[in-house]
Amino acid sequence: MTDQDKRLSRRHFVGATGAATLAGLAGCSGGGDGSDGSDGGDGGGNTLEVLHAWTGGDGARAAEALVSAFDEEYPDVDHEFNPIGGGGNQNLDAVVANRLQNSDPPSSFANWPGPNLQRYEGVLGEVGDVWESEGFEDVMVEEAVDLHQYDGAYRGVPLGSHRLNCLFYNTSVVEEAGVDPDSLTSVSALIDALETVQSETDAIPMTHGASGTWTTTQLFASTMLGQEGYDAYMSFIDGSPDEAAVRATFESLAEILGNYINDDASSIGLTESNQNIIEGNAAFIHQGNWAAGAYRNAEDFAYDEDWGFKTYPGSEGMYMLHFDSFLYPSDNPSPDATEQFMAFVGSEAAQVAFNQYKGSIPTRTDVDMSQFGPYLQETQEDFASADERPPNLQHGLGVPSETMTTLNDVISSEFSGPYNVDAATEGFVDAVSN
Amino acid sequence: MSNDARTDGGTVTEADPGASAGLLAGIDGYRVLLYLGLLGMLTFFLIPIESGLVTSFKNPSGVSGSLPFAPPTGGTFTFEKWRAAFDALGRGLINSALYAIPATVISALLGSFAAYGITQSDWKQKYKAPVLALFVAGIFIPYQAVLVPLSQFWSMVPLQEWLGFLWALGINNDYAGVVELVVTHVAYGLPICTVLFRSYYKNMSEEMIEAARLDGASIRRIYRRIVLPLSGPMFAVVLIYQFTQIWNDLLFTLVLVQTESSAAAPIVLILAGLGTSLEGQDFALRMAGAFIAALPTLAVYIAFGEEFAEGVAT
Amino acid sequence: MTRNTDTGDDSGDAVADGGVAEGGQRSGFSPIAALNERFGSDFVESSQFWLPPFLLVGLFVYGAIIWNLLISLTDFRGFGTPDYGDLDLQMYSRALADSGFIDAAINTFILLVGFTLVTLALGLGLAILIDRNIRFENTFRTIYLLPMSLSFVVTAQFWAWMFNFNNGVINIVITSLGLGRVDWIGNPDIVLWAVMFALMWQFAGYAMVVFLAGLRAIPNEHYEAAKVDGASTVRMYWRVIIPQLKGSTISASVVLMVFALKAFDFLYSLVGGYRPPNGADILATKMVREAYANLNWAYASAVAITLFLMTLGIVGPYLYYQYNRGNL
Repeated sequence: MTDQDKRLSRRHFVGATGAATLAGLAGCSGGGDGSDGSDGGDGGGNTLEVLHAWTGGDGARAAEALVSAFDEEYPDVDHEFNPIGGGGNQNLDAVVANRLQNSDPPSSFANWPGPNLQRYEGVLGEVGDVWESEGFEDVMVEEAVDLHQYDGAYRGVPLGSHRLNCLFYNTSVVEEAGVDPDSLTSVSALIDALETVQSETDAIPMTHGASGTWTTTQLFASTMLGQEGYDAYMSFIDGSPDEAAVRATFESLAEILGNYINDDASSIGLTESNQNIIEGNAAFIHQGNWAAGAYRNAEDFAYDEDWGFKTYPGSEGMYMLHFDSFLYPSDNPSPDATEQFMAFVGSEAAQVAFNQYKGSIPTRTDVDMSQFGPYLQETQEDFASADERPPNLQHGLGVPSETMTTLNDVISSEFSGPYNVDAATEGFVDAVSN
Repeated sequence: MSNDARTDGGTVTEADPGASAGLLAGIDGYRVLLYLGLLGMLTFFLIPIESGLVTSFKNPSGVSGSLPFAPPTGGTFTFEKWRAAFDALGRGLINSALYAIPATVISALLGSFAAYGITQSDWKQKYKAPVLALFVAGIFIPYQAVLVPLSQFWSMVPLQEWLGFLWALGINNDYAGVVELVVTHVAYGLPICTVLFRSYYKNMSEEMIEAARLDGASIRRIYRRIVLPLSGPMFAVVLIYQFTQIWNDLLFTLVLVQTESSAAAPIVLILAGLGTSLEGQDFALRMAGAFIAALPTLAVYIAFGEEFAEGVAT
Repeated sequence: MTRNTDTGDDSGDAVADGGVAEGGQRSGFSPIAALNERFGSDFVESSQFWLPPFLLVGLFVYGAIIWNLLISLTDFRGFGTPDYGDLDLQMYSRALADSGFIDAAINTFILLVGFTLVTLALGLGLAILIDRNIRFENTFRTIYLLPMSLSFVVTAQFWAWMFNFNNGVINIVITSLGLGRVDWIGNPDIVLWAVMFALMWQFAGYAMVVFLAGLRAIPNEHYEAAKVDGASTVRMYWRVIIPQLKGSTISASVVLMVFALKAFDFLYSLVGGYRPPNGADILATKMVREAYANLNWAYASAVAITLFLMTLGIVGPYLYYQYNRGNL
């Protein structure tokens, strides 16, 4: 015990000076402003250090908007926002894990709430007083209230939300095939439509980027929700899966993936796959609505004219939930500044600044959406009025990260072509069962 | 493949040494096939590099619209990717040099010490053999077998405190990772360095050393005055080999520095994530980056190919 | 190189200060004499040279392996420190029940054997070609060995492009022959062979260099004798020359197998992440992923020990062989 304590306190000291110099050097390299360095040295533990993984494109722009909004609200807080690039969130997770392991935590880091918090057991602090003083419980959707608590205390604050049960399409391709996307209200109707696209056009019916397994796991979740319904999906997530429902979902997936996707699916990622929609090579894609960011950035590719959105067939009236949140490590190097930052993250100013660029929506339900485009405004309406907001499976809210890893291992070994329905069903049922 | 080329030519038996003297004399069916085989293999080894090189000079429409091994045309030619790659990797070049050069020099020196201490001194073979066996076996250890303890070890060493004077100078404290990389690479590079020097010292003339010993010279003096000055050629081999190995290694950088966003990120770490973002796979950028990362080792290889070959062959 | 004398001496001093055995050298005389008596006359005096490097290697390599073994017996995961009070083989039984581990072990084995064999074969072919009294020998040799000087990270970029589904050189060649495109990286049944092919490209030059040294060491009379007997070139190589390359083959195989075990860098760079393409997961990648992506430290250590034992199974006999031949 005493050894441990000693180590902790030493590390704490190291962390503080480390953060200070980090800030100092970044000041130098950023603006060439040498005075920052000495400020950092004096300020010591007060420098706010935030880690996130928004390094490219929309994400980087959104992060910039967040920082400048923060500067406006809290001009006196010394801060250092460090984007950690590489491997999706992998490198961020590794860096965060390493620093938490060494008792050298950052002030805050971006991550998912929900069961995902389990992997940070014992290293997260509490921000309940921020929730209280800012009145977040009254303005956030109720799922946000639930999912940001772990062990009876608030561990972080949500910044924005993406929607998972989305089906996007290229308008001219579906028109050419004579398919009306709005009429697709069941997974079997979707499969029929894919067949129609296949026979009527040269386009890929459904484009899929499966170089990582996560796209398929994500598709499983939406398909299960759409085909087997909310209750079946929720009992799967909660650890009492209905084997028949899982099997039926995989059977539909095997039909879709086995017949209607692009030949190079297993060697391309989300971006190339999404490119197929933009270039008119494919009719449909299932993705989280971050995919829409690419449409907005593409030239001459307008919502409702060139591309369209349909709630994933069968899941109408539901909003499969995703949160981008900031978590609060215990042993915090800058407790005061971090609490200010936490209060800021949940504020309207932050959520508007960030989400309009990120292509996501605020988690508050009282936000003026006028600065957002028509697509996100509709998403926000769906969000606020949804009958159910089930948590996603692949992005931390549904199952702990360990279960998620197992699910992806199953997809990798049994369901990346050839599609082994039996083995995948067994693997998924085993993985989530309590 | 190459075997075929040779067997088909088996009708004419031996190439007598004179055959290659005159170009005309060498031209017969067998020689033609031999050279075709050689050139075929040349193509095999060069095509990935050539394809990468031409691709790195193409704009996106050139990358997707032209043959991967065809040079860019006027319309598809661009330096843009090289510029972007250099912007991304430039700091990595410096960071890599910061640990690769010291680690190379230190491991070569220590390897020379160890080999000298084991080879050119008089102690019993039956005790030397296990010491040596441990060095030799150390060459083959998969780094994975030491990775978890290694990161535990470095998280316990208060390097950040010890190097506090550097941070006070305004150096980013990420550079502790560079120090860790130097020590780590020295430790894991030592076995191969020792074995390379050992094979050299074993064949070194013992007369001078014997004479010096009879004069009462200490072991240290003999090393400084006789062995070290004679070690030049082997130092060249070891330095080149080690530099290549350390510069090229990714695993330790991934574990000790972790992210390309770090101020101290080595070039291989930045390159591993280059051009694969949510914006898509930018192959032209990846190729340009690959060449920039390879330039130092390529330059060393082209300048010192013989020493490199000797290093890998031992 | 001329200044080396000085630097060598300085660092010699610096290192000697750190040496553990140094303290005893001047103060107590009799223990030294006893040590020298036991181990040989220069044992203590030469230790200033070999002991510090030996300790460094001992600590970082062998100390770390033992430490790793200990960690693999704990349940260490997530944050904090391992609990060494409760040691068991649970992680190893978990590995045996983990189909991902079994797949990775099988893939490792396939890669090991397949890669080593094809690389040896190509390397031998190249060495024989080069050894046929050709012109521009240096140029050919330099180019064949060139990929060896490149980082796995660099070659992974090249081969990701070579294997690209739509625009890669290999698929372009294949389609020009009238065959359909192949999804080299994406097809789990093919990807391991594709990786093997790329690694062969990188290391064939190495095998060539080793074999070339072996070929050049064979006395000319053996060629002459075979010729006098009227053996064809093929027969001569097959019956007379290749059998004499046993030593080269063994050392090249060992080194190649060790490279194959380390193919992590290549697979990581191919996808830019911890999870290699489906069907190409090997123990080296699984170990790093379990440790640094999943924080399953103890489990990763158990995988590492498995990998280490595989290496030992290859290198142990080799060391014994070298020892018996007096090469140590």
